[in-house]
Amino acid sequence: MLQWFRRELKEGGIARIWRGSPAQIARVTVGSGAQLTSFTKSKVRFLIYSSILIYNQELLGPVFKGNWFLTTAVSSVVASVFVVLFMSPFDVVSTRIFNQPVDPVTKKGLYYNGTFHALGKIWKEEGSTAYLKVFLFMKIKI
Amino acid sequence: MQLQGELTKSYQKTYTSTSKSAVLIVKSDGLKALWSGLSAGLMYQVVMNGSRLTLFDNLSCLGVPALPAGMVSGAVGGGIGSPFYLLKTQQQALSSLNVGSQHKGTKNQATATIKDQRRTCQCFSGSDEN
Repeated sequence: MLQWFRRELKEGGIARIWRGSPAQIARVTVGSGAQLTSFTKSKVRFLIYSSILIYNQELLGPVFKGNWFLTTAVSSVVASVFVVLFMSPFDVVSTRIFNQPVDPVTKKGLYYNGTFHALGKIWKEEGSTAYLKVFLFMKIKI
Repeated sequence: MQLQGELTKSYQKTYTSTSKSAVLIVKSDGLKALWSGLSAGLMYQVVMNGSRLTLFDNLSCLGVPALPAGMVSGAVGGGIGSPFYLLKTQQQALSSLNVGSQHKGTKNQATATIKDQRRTCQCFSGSDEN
């Protein structure tokens, strides 16, 4: 890993190591926004279940009561569904940008100029289903 | 899987379902190939989540709502971890199945060098007896 970093740095400096970072930032911004919001919200929701519904003898109340592990686990499952929904297109884009060959002379990517260019180009050339290429795959990842 | 059929509509699918893809990878490159890019991936997760969740907790304490706090901390974390993700993607795409462009230089050559050195040492071991 160190060798690779050293060689890339020598070839194109800091900019070369951080190439494609706008795509990555877009990906994590969307993903993180979806994840942390839905995680926080669903955790609060389950905590409310655990404290209120116990008086109503509902099913979920006793299950979640005082069980922080279960509350966190279920909330993160809920959160991951949202992450997959929102992050899929950006995940495809950043994978493509990171793996595109670099022109040795201009030091620029051969296929895509940036995040939105890539989003548009993939839509035009491959159709909208391309964004969901890993939909099933990501469910396992999370 | 994300790299197959790049910028074209008609292509032969190499990877179909998740389980079939896993079997295919093991068959063509061995069991170890499923864990390719692991060290870069781990470094990415450590750096990215470390900065991201710390920032998110701090922002939440300051009273920033969850959505903007999550997005800002995600942007910062993703930006910092980006080079590791770059290396991870290229390492994982590298395979004998040749899906997507192949970046040969990303393969770890350190182990090969160490093995070569060991071999050299073995050649000269016992030379002091003469």
